[in-house]
Amino acid sequence: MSTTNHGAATLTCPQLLIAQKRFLHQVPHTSSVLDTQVYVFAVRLMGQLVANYDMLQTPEEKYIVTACVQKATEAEKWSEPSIRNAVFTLLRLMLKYKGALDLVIKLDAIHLAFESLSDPSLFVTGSAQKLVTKLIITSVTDHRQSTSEIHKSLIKQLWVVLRSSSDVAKKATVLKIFQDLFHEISNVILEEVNSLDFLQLLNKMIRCDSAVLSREAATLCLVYKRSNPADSSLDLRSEVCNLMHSGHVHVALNLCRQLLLREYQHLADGWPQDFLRQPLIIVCGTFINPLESGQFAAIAKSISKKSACLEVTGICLGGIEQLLQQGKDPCSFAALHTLLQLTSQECQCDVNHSQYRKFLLRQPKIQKAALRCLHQYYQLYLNDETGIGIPDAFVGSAQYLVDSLGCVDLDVTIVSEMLKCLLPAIKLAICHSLLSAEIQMWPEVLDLLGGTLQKRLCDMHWETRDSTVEFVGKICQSCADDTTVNMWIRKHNLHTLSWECVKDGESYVRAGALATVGHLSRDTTIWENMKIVKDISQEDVVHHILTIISTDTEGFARRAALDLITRWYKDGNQLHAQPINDVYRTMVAATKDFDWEVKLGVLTFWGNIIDQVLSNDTLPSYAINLETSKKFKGVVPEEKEFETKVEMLCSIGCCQALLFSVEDYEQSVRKKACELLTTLKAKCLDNGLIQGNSRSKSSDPLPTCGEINMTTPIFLDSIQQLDLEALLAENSKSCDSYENNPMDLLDDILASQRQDEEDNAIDCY
Amino acid sequence: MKLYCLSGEPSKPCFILKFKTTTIMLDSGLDMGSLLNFLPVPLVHSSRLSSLKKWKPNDYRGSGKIENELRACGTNVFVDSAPEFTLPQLDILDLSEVDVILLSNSYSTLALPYVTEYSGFKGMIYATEPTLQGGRQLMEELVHYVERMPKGSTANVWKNADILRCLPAPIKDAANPLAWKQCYSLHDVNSSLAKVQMVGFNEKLTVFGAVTVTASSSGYCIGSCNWSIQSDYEKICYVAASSTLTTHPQPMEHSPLRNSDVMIMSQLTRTPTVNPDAMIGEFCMTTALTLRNGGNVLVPCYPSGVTYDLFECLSVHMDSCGLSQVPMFFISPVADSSLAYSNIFAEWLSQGKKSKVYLPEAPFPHAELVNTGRLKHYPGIHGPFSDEFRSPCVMFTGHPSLRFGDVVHFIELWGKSSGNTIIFTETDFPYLYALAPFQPLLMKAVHCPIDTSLNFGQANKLIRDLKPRHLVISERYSHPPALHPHRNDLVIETDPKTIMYKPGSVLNLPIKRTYERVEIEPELAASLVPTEVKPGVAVAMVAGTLVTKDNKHVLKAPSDPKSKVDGLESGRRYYVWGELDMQEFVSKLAQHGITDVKVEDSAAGHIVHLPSDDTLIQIEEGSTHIICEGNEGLRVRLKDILLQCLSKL
Repeated sequence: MSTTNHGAATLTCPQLLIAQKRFLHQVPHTSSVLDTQVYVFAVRLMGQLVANYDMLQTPEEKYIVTACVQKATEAEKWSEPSIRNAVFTLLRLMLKYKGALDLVIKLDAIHLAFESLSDPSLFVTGSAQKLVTKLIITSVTDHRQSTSEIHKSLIKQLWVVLRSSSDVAKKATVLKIFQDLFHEISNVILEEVNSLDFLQLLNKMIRCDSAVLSREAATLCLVYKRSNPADSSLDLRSEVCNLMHSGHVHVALNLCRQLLLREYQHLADGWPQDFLRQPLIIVCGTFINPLESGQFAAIAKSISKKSACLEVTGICLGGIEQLLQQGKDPCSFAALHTLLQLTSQECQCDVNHSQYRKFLLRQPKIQKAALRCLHQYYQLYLNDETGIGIPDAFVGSAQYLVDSLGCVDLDVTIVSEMLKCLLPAIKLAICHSLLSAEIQMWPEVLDLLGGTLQKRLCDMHWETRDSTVEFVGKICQSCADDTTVNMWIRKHNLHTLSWECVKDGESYVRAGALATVGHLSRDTTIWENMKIVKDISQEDVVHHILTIISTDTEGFARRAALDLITRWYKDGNQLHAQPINDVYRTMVAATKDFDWEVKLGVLTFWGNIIDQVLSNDTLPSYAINLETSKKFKGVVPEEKEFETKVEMLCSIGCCQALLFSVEDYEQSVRKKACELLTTLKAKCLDNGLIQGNSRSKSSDPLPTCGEINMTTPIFLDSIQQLDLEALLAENSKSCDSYENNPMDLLDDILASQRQDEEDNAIDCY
Repeated sequence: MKLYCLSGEPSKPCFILKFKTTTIMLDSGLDMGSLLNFLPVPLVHSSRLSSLKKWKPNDYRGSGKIENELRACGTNVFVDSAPEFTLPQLDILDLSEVDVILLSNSYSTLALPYVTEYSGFKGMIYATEPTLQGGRQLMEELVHYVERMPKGSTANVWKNADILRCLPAPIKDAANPLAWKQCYSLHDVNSSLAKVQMVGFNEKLTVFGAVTVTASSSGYCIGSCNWSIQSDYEKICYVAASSTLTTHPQPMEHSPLRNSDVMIMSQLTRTPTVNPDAMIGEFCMTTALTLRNGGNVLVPCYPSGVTYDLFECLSVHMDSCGLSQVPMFFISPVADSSLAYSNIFAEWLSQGKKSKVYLPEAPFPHAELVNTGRLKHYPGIHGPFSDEFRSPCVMFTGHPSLRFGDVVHFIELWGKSSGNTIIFTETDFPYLYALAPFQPLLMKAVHCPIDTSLNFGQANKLIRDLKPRHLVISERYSHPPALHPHRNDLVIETDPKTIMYKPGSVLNLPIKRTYERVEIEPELAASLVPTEVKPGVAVAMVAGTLVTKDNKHVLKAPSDPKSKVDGLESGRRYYVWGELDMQEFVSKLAQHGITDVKVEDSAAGHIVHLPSDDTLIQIEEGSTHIICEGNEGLRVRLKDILLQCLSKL
């Protein structure tokens, strides 16, 4: 027996249900020959069935479930994490049916689930945790005498684990269970567990050495408070202060950070922000709104060692980023700027004297987090409509970014973050009219940035070249209207160097450069200047891009080139008087590309062509050189116009390519081709080129792409032959349909048990 | 033990070590900084250079004709003459006394012909094969460049102190130009290098039997080495240009340099503030940027060393940037042999490169680059080069001083376009001064110094690891570089045991020689009767004749037995030793009839009282006194009895 990667499946059709049951019935009885994967499949299949169908209705069905689960829990198979995961998931899904709780108890699943609360596999831990949670909730809602007390026993067991277990992972999972339970049955838990004891225990765990445990305990505190807002025994602010005084600053700050999450925001009144930004203020030596001296001292003491300083600063930056994402300004732009300088090797200013510089210098995590915050700040000011203006440190921060970007041995991810920041920074500068020569520094900053970008476009790391060329594209896309930026791009040859990146050795860079070329080409000044400087014509450009579509070894680059050509066509006149026949020839050839996304792109191109040809009264600019277009120039009788248009589509290879794509091995390609042909066919019907309901009986195969010059009658005959509605319906089925109808799959699995038919097995992918 | 420091430039070292009876020269570096004071020698007539204004001091009243010697270019003044070099201070001592010259790398060989030719030198020269071949290539290239376009006259008047002080900086600061010498000839090079004996790493070589010298890999360039000079009881290490970075040569060996009495350290990096990796990245980026903008890249370089790494890194980066079609040219009179030799020195290369030989592949990718036509090499710009030359390209050529060689031609050719770039990677010459005679220059100049030798951090770490008893360094390494006066990390951490030298210093190295090894002839050794004086230690009396020959000492049996020293045979003198056993002594006294014996313990030993003879014997560690009131007969008897109780040697 073999399995496939289709996953489990369910069905409700009686015939198929029988087949499934037949399969599942066989599973426990063929244990010696089945490998673990088949068991995993069987249990997952059962889980899928249970999701939609009560498998505990008849003794026979109950037997199948019991037998399968019992077999799966045998030692040899149980050691497999995917089996454990599948069994726990199955049992959890089953719990919604009557009698399931009894069955779970009978199968000793509670014991197994408790054992797996600290499983090495996170998936198993998660499924066991969900099962225990579900068991307790089911028990609470089940009013039968026999099972109604189970939740009490389970909560007690969980409580025992929390109080006495030495297994940190298990305790953390139990805390997660309590977090889930508090959402639904807070009162039930508090009936079993004294709230004071509970909070005391949480308090103890928050202060433990394990970061995971303290984080989960802190979260549980929040959940508890949300469920019991009136409980005055838990004052979150005092809790945070106590944590700081007891040296658990990172836990306290994590708690503050969680309080900023939307679901807990009502529990605090702005004070977590003050706590969160405090480490940044201390590290940067800027004393703004200090907290009470005790807390200030506690934070300062906690960051006196490198690892703690990095951790606390990281949490602080995470919180600030969170606040910024919510549109709040934590008023620490200057501090953030100072922090960035502290992390930078190149910075030679006053921050050199900070005692924290030796901890923070060139720490990539801190640098990235700080840059993310800076980006959020810029976005915040960019989106600000109140006109409060930008902070004084803005120009300095931009200067810092440009200076640091010039450092040769910068990590590629940091370069990428810096470029991300620079884009809104330049937009901001434009918005606030800072780019004019009167504002000192900006021209220098831009000049330096131009030189640095030039080098980065030729960087040793392709990732940097890629992010730089994308940056140039984005700048051009969003800021090229600004005269200064437009001139700056041309002055520093960023347009010509971006064009050179189209020839880069790395496919991602080529793809990025092609997208940038698309943006550059939208600005006439830049585009024309690029062609003059590089001494190339538009024809050369198009030919180069067509060469990429035909010959590039990487799908990314081919797709990007195709997108560019498609966009140019869609945009209108870019390809006027260009080698249009070469473009069509390349597109016809690309219909046979190995990459399905390229083929999809080709169909999008043809879709645009069809739209333009069929919708316009006059010929599009790119079609004026075609032979067939001569018939279209007013000499053709009106009734013949549509036929001429179709004739033109045939002559350029469009119709041929669509018919070829209908038989593609990739479903999405077939679907797209069907959609286009359906549109075309409908228009042909409307214009009387073909007759409705008169499907030809011709058995001729569909024409092969590129092999013949298809004539209009042949094409019309071909689309008349095709039952496009049926094809479209077939190709519109998602892969979910296999999950909903796994008959073929089951047959395959069952059939493969017969050795003599082994050769007939079909590889499904 | 003395150390003579002949070189004024720590990166071009030349020392003479007098150790035991030998005189050893360590390296023979040539300071070429003086070249920058001369006008470039173009390959074809340059109207710009020849039309430079002649220069003479305003208030010059001297008799010498200076008009044709100096020319001004901008604010700089250059000597219009055949180029000259600053030699080590070879006149400090008689070179004919030098027994052996140890060469550490090919860059430290360039003054060798000045040392070995016409100086009476008759010693040995030891170097590894790559050092020999690399040195030969550098010297041949130098001679070729200088002799290719000979200057008709030699300028000497300007060296007059009266004129010199009137000249503008930096030429007026030139150190002792009267001592500068013109380049040697190819004959001298061949004659000098013919004296070199090739050695392998860790091969022990004796110098007149007095010391053993051993080369160990220094990781700086192919075949580069450090030297350890050892006698039986002393060890001196000479750490020349070394690198702990992973490049193409065999990695540096530390163990042969450990626990030395004196370690002489030279040739640390001259660009301590820059990281070579970052500079290679900068070099590649700048090259790609220039090429993408349609410009040419000129790289003034030596024909070996870092140039191989540049080929490798740049070709990979150019591939990565889609610039594979751009050719790289390597022009040098020795380009062919340099590329060929580098690929046959597999045993001297890093493990990665060495293992390629077994695939089999060439260790360096430049062999493949040459095969595929991406790297084209020519001896000069004339001949086939002109057929293959196309633009844009990357041009590697010499000389890095920009005063002669094909590089002068390309600066003249490309200097007028801002699209071209000249990238300086060699650190021997300050690039701005090197470019001074070509100003105004439109082509971009980029400085990417790549010096893989030890930086100060690495050197300090190495010193801590090697634990020398005394360290000898240039006094320049004891304070921060002039350009970074506050960078206290850019120094060698000194302690009282650090000895610093200045150019021309003669140092007395604080090694007190205590022992010398002597061999005993087997016949004499067989006659010895060792006596065990304590567990594991036996002592024997020996008499023989000490023969010293070739700094080896051998103790032979005396040729005339009758003349044995001190009559050791007939009237043999014995040495008594050991501790007196009082019980045995008392019993011996009894045997000789002295029975009335009282023994008392004292603070220092024992007191034996013979009441009947009215005699006291004080026995202490190391001395015995017999107080017997003048009874000489009794004293002698007692002495004999006591000696019987002691061990004899």
